[in-house]
Amino acid sequence: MPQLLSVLSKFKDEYLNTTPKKLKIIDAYLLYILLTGIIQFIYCCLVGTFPFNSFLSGFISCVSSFILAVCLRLQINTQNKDDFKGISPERAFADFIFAHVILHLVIMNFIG
Amino acid sequence: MWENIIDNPTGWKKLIIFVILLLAWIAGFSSRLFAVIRFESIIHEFDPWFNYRATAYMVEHGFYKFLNWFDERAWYPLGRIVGGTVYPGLMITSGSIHYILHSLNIPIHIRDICVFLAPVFSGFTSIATYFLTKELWSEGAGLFAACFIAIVPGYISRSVAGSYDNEGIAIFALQFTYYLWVKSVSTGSVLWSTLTALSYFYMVSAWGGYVFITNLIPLHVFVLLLMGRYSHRLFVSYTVFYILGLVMSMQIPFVGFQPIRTSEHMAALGVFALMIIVAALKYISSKITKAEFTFLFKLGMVVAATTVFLIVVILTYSGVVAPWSGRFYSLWDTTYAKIHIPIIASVSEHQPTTWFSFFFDLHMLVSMFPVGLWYCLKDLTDTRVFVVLYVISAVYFAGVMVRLMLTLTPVVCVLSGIAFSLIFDCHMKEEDTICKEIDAEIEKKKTVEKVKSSRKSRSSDIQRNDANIDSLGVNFKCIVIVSAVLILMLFAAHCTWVTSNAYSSPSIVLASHSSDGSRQILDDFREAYFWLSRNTDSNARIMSWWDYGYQIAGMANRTTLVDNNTWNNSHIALVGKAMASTESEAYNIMTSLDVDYVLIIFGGVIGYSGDDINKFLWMVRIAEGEHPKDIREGDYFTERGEFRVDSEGSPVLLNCLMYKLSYYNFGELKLDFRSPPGYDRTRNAVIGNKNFQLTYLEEAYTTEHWLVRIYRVKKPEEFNRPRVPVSNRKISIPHTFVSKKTANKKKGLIRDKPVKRKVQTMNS
Amino acid sequence: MKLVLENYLLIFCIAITACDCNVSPYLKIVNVDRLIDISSQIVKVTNKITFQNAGSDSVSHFVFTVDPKVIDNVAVIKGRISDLDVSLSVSEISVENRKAWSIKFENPLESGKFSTVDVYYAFIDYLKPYPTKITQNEKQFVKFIGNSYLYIPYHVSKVTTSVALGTKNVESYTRVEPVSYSDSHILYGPYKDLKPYSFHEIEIHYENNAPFLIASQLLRKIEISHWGNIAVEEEITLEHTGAKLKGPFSRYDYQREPESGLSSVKSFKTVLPAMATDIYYRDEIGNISTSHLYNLENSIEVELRPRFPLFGGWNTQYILGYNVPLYTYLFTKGNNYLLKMPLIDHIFDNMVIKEAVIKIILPEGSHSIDLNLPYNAERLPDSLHYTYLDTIGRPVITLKKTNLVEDHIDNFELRYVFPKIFMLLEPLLIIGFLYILFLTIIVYVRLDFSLSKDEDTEQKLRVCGLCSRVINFEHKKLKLYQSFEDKLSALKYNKDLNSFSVNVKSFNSEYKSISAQLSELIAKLKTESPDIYEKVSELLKLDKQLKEIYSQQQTVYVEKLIPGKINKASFLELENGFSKKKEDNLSRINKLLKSIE
Repeated sequence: MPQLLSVLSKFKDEYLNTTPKKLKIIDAYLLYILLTGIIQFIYCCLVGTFPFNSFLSGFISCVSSFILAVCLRLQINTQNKDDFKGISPERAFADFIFAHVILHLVIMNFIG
Repeated sequence: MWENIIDNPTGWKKLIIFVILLLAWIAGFSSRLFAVIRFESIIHEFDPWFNYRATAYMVEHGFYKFLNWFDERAWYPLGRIVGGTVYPGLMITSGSIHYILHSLNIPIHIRDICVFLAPVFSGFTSIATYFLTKELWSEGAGLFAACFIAIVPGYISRSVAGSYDNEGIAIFALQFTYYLWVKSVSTGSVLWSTLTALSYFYMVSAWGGYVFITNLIPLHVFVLLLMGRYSHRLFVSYTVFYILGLVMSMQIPFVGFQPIRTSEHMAALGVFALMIIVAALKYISSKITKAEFTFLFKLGMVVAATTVFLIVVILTYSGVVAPWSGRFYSLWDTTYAKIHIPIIASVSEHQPTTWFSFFFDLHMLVSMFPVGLWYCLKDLTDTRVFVVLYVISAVYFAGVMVRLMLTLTPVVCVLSGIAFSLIFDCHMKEEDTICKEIDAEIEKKKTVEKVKSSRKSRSSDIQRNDANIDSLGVNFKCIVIVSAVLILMLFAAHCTWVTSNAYSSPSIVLASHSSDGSRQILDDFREAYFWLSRNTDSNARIMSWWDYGYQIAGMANRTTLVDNNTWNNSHIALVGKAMASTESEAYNIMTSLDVDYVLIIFGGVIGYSGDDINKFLWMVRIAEGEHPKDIREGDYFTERGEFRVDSEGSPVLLNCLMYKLSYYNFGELKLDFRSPPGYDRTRNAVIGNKNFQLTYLEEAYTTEHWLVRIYRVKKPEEFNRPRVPVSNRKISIPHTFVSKKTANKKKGLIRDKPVKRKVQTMNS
Repeated sequence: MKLVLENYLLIFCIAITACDCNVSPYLKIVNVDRLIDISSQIVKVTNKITFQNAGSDSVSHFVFTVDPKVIDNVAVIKGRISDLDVSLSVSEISVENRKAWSIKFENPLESGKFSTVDVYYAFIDYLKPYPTKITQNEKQFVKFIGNSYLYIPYHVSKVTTSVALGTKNVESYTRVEPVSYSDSHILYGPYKDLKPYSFHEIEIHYENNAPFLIASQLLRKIEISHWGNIAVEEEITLEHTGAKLKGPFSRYDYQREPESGLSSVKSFKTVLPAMATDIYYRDEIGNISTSHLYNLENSIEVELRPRFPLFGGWNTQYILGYNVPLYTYLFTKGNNYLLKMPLIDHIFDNMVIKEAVIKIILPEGSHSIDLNLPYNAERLPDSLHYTYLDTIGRPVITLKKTNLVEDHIDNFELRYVFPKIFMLLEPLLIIGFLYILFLTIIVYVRLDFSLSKDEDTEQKLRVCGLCSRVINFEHKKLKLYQSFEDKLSALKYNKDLNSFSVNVKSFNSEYKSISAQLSELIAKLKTESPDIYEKVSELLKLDKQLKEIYSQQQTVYVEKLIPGKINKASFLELENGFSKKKEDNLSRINKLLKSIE
């Protein structure tokens, strides 16, 4: 247990020191989405899933926003440059927007 | 200026690729036109008639009306909610083509669009195949694959002009989705995986076979994980694809919430969760020391896999997730359908594939694709793992069900393309003279021109990377190349032959050759359907076996009791029971179902083998499944266990409704001077029960060659019989039904391929 | 405006004829020979009437009437001078509030003169099957109810009525003496001195297996294309209006017994214009494969078989279409066109069309349309039709007419103006479309849509460009060497030092300029790509060596060979050495060049 705590604190230090500011902003956004998703889930556990498609569209839009933001974060991160040859941060952001447009069109259709 | 263009090798290469793809398209398109040239521009078979009818409805009434369409003309008295029980991709595709053309003032009839949709899409398929193969291997291999898929019979069988069915566009969607998937795996771009999801959405809207994609892509990802090939690229492409694909696939009414409820889709969800866990672990481990990294990684993998698996199992058993549907069981256990669901087993497409049909549909590609597979295995990349998995799973499924040959064909073309490209690569280096000789030699053969030009493009490749020159003799190379070209020529000839002979019959128009060699067209089906549409009441209800339901609805526009959708087994069993009972019992069933006319197919006069008497045992079996007390299969056999219609046949058979309707008035008919009266050409027997009269029905119409016979059900006051009180006549129609299939709509086909045998019997 | 004018004209015409409606009391009928043909489904009556003018004034016309009960069944009425093919003008009038026709004599009938006139008319929907329902093997019997006299507002001296039955099988007929029955004719009369409007009903019940086929709907589309053809398409609903089929239809009997289903229609013949091509016969579910074509001298006969034999009460529907070349019906003078073709055409013998709608589709851009019909027909509002590549739409003229028989096959005349320039519209559209398509492709290819520049590929491209320039310069240098070599060999023979030195100067200056440019390039390359730079610098080294060799050779030539300071053997030796070195050097240079490429 203390080992785990030490690992965690090390991890926190590491994070605060090495992560660029841009990525930290994205991380904040990710946290926000995660919380939204969790709240929705708790709400549906308490109240029920009745318009099932509405619940699904809300929850899935959360999950997919999260995923897309993670992808954006991965692609922007300079450490992963070798993985994503030919994808510049601008390109990554444009892709992110494109995927969001598609996603929200579908979600709007689905939410009923 | 000119010199510049000529010297510019990339320009030439692009031009050649473009020309070859265009030629492949044209060749594929034109080889699918046999049926149109021999007969006419007409919708084929059975299911296409429903698709055509639905499309025409959509064009006429608009998209939203179509989605809410309740068809009261099918499954009388139940009706069918069409909008919620079809994959609308096909109708939307041709409907939008129709819309665009008409807004440009090009008044092409919707029927012609439907007829030519599949051939046009086969061109798209070959282009998608080119890109997929190019992504996996090289441009040359891509060109070979594109040419193969354009003419391979396994794909032509479902995409000839007039075969207006889901598969026609779905194979394009399948290949294109795979191309985009491979592309997104190799680039790791959100854009490409979003496009993959969009293409997947199109596939979901078009065909129930989308489940193949939903399982193959997660399998690919999972295998890559096991091989330790995780990368951020993979994470991006899979997660984005999955989550967008999931929400999009739920937009199709027929699919609904299945993607999160049925077991077929659970693998994808599991891999999605696994992927996130792995990514999280990776991230954490990048921040901490290396020693913990490997430990945590492996531990996390194992824990995640087991939890996901356990969750799926628990959910399945607790009923939250629907268990696998019958058709999927029959994929794992080939005898499952035979025992449990006769209606699935009764369709010839759901039988296991024979070796013969592998060769028939794929010819030399069957022997060539392992070569390509071997080279892919030798030089593995992330994307090649995909094609390996694709071919392994497709081979298995194709072996289980004839129909799934269709999913095997594209990947076989891809791998064979790779193999041929390698052969030519090895043996065509340096000596330009050889090229020229062979060029001249094969110039005449039209199909090989693709081969030739693809070789040209390759020779420019070769000049660039003049690396290791093999120590093979010129003569040896010559022999190899000539034989490869010969094989390709044989392949092209085989494809043309198969297409022209086996896959180009519309099946509603039959052709036979009379003794002087002239072609005679037997148009009895349309004769009967048109008679129905003109000369019966527009609300008349017609009872026939389910094979003809779609055609009656499409061509005669009359209400049917059962059709090729086969969603309600008990209803079909009721019709089967009516056909298998005696006339008076059948009359009770028919009056309870408000039947006005009975339509049967009888091939005894011309020797058509796909008629109702030959299908009769399936009717009995299906009826027995629901009404075991009234119908027993054994009663219809002789004591020696034979099914025969002559005087030795079982008396139950000789007195059942189907027998009487088929052979009414037939006992006196002499077909020619040699045969005795009442000689059935299909079963080569003199019928056993002649000179009987019908009490409850009367002949309303029989077509010229007796192929279709229509009987009118008399009203109670029209015959001499004590009136049976209405209460006794009632037969309860089960209103609750258990659908035996959810994901995959049945494709109806007559059990025996009638075309081939028919011609033989006509000549004899 | 036009329509209104036409209406006025019509009213005017009626006004003129209105004064023709009086029945002249002096006109007497001397003799009438009536021939009533009831062998088909149409009742055709020909009255040969001899008039005498008993008055003093000349009479210009006479009034003709038909029994009021059946007057609405008259589909067509025609008058002509007996035995001559001169038709008389017939106009519809009303006499005592009833429909009647006024027929003009060719020349007004002078007092005391005789004139013999044929009046022909046809009834449709007249014969009634009796019994109304028969089984498949029964024959069809019909009832004819008619007049053995002539219903006309004149005094008739003598009438004979002959009824042609076309069959020997007569169930019953009304006897009005004198009457005689022979073979397939019944002869009534002669009856003498009949008052105006005399009527005596006769009823004949006889077998008539002629096809009682009517076209209940005809939609005829005539589409004119100035590219050379007129497309005609007829959509026809056929109905068998004879005795209805009772009970079952037995294919067995129908095939085995020739007597079975006598009144049913298996097939019929349609006559098309002789120039008709591309004939198709289909219905809503596809091509009907049972038809035969016969090319006759001045027409084409098509034998059409419906998908199923038509029994009483059954109906079917089909579409028959064909193309005829433009010149058969269209006449032109400048931009003015005249279309002259049948309003309806033959469908089957003794045909009856209940309702016909005729649509004439003119080419896009035609105007000033003027229509001239052979008989009255209702003109529905004009509309526009859009087909391939149309932009403003083609004018469509729609006509409607009920109760037509074969005698209505007559030409209409349609005049319109069509500027020929409109024919170019569609090809120009295609050309314009392709032009825009290629333009967009060119623009798309030329423009760079990428968000950010990709450094790697950019650099590669730059290096590639530099390399190709280096290679170009090197090739130039090699050419220079070659020309220098030529100069040297020239010097060897003519020993002209002056011109040689001039040449050498120019060579040197050119060489210097090229070297300067090259070194510039190389400096750039150094920053871009070090390993190519290495190769290029090696290339330069080799080049310098080559230059060295040449200058050595030059000194040998200038200082030793020209003054003759050297003997032949040693010169040759030197020369060989040079050429070997040069070759060696050149091959290395070429190799390097390839590797850079």
